This record gives sequence, structure tokens and C-alpha cells, in this order.
Amino acid sequence: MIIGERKPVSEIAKMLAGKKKILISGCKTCVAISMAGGEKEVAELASALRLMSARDGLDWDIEENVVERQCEKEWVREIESKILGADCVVSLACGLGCQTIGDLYPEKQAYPGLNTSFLGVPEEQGVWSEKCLACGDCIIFETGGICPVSRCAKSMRNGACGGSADGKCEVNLDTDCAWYMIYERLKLQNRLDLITQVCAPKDWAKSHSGGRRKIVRKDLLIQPTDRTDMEVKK
Amino acid sequence: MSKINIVAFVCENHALSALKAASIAGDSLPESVKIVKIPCTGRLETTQMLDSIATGADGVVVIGCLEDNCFHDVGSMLARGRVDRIKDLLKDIKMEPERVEMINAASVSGAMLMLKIRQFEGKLAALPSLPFKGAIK
Repeated sequence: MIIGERKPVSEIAKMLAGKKKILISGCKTCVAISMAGGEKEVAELASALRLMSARDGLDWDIEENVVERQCEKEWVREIESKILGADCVVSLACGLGCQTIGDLYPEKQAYPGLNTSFLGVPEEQGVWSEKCLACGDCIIFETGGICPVSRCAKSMRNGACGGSADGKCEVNLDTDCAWYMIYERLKLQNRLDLITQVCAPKDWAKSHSGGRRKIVRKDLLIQPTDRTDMEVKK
Repeated sequence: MSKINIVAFVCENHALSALKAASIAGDSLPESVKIVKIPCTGRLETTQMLDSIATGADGVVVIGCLEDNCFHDVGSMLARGRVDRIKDLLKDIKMEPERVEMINAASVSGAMLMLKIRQFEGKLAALPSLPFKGAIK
């Protein structure tokens, strides 16, 4: 899921200078699970801003709202009247949600209330860690199901590097060495032969290095059939 | 000393028993304290602490069980995390983090609890009063 972290309230308040009617909109999907932009976090931010408004006489009129998935236009359109009725929107969704509001209602200012941090998983209550870099070319079938691209500080394709010691990464001793974990996993699966194979360099063109990515599934597109070839020629 | 308003969120288990024990011993709560009973401090949301201050409280105290003897196991620990979060948030918006405090109490420690509440009241009295200039919307 997408993991986020709320921006400091003081930073959000700076964006709102001169505004009166403010809509805070959260998302019930990823950022709700990462406890950064769900219903509770929207309420917390609204309370903090109301407190600032009362203290400083800012006269902010704050409305709260949470949509099912802010990255989908259909869900955002359901709160169209709220968005159009506000001077600006503070999005507590990830960058995708905030941009969806901005793209649908370009005349309205949509501000990011949180920083989109990474693609990760909840490890325990209150702890999330990164496990995917969305590189566009998954290779974890060769690495025992552990992603070296996101979990190795050097994103090494052929590891481990010389800096790993006692199963820990030299860049951060609190982090497990991804290649140590890969070795242990492959050993458990009797697939250690995989670790001796030299892997070809990764195709980074499929990652963000190749520019903005887009996927088009023709079978899902709703468009009229091109009938020009079917016309009876006289 | 100007009149201080304190909202005390009190768990219905060990913390409330401690208050009752103090009361039986003749030690009554300061007039500044308004009690809000809750089933467990772990149920308290950060919003409730912020809203209390926004609507006129000078400070908020959360009174729960001892962490290693919490009636609901982890309620006090969760509450402490949320109190710390609100302290950080208050610092961020340039307000005094001392306005929010957590006190843990065993059922038998009524006198200690009263002492800590009075100390909290004293700390709040030393802070500048909140300069509210507008209404909550």
C-alpha cells in the first residue's frame, strides 16, 4: 500500500494563508491504513486548524470529509459540491488523490496535507517499512520473494556487497541486509544455485527513469469499433 | 491567580478508583477540574484533547491505569502515545506542550494522584492565558 506521513500542521497552515472556507478531504484506502489520512487523521487536523484559527482569529471555516478512494475520479465527483463550495482543499490522501482533485477541478487549489512516503507494508502497530520501489520489472522470483531493489540500500542486483556484516546493512545498522535475507530464504527453499548466477543489469527504462509511465489495456477501453474496414466497397 | 479550567479524561477503572479513594480520605479535587469518565484511556482520541483546549480548557490531563497493570492491557500505553503526539502538535503550532499531561495511577494511590493533579494545575497557572481571538467553526 501507499504509506504517507502528515505534514507538520504549521506547514499546512502556511498554505492556507488568506483562505476562509477550507475542505479537508481524506481517503479511506491506503493512507487510512497507514494512519496518515483516514477519518481520524482528518478529524485531528481539522481540530488542530480550528484551534489555530480560534487562537489567531483566522476565521477559518473548516469542513471534514473522507472519500473511499481519492485517486479515482468517480469517488471524488461524489464530493464535487463540497470541493466547489470551498476556497481550497487540503488533501490528506497520497499525491495521487491530491492530483486527482486538482485535475478534476483545476480552478480550485488542492494542497497536499501529507507527504507520500513509499510503497510499503505495516510491520507492527505503528511501524511501516518500504518493500517495493515500483520499478516496473519485478525480479523477486529469482530472489526468494525478497525485493533487493527496494530493500537493499544500493539496490544491488548481484549481492551482497562488501559492507554487510552480521546480517545488517552498513548504511543503516537497524536494517537487515536484503541480500543476507535472500541468501537465507533461498537456502530454506533449496534454491541456493540462484544466488551464484550472475544477473544481467536491470532494465531501468521500465522505472521512472524512463519518464512518466502509463499502462493502456485495450481490452478495457470503452471506444467505438473502427468500422472503416468493414464498409462495403462499391 | 486567574481561574484555570482543566479537563480530566479519567478511565473508569483504576484511575477512577484512585479518585474515589482520595475522596473517601477527604482529599477533594480542585474546582478547576472537570471530570470526563471514559471506559479506557486507550479509547481517547487526539481530537478530544485538542477540542477541549479549543473550547476553553487551559489544559487536559489524561488519567489512566499504571502501564504494567492496565485494566485493558494496553490502554494506558496507547493514551501515552497520543498525549505525546498532541504535545508535539502543540509545539508545532507554537503552543505550550505542558497543556497536555498523562498521569498513571493505581487504585490505591489516591493521594499521589491528587498531588500530581495539583502540580499540573500549578504548571498551567504559570502559563500565559490562551489568547483566543475568534470563534470555532
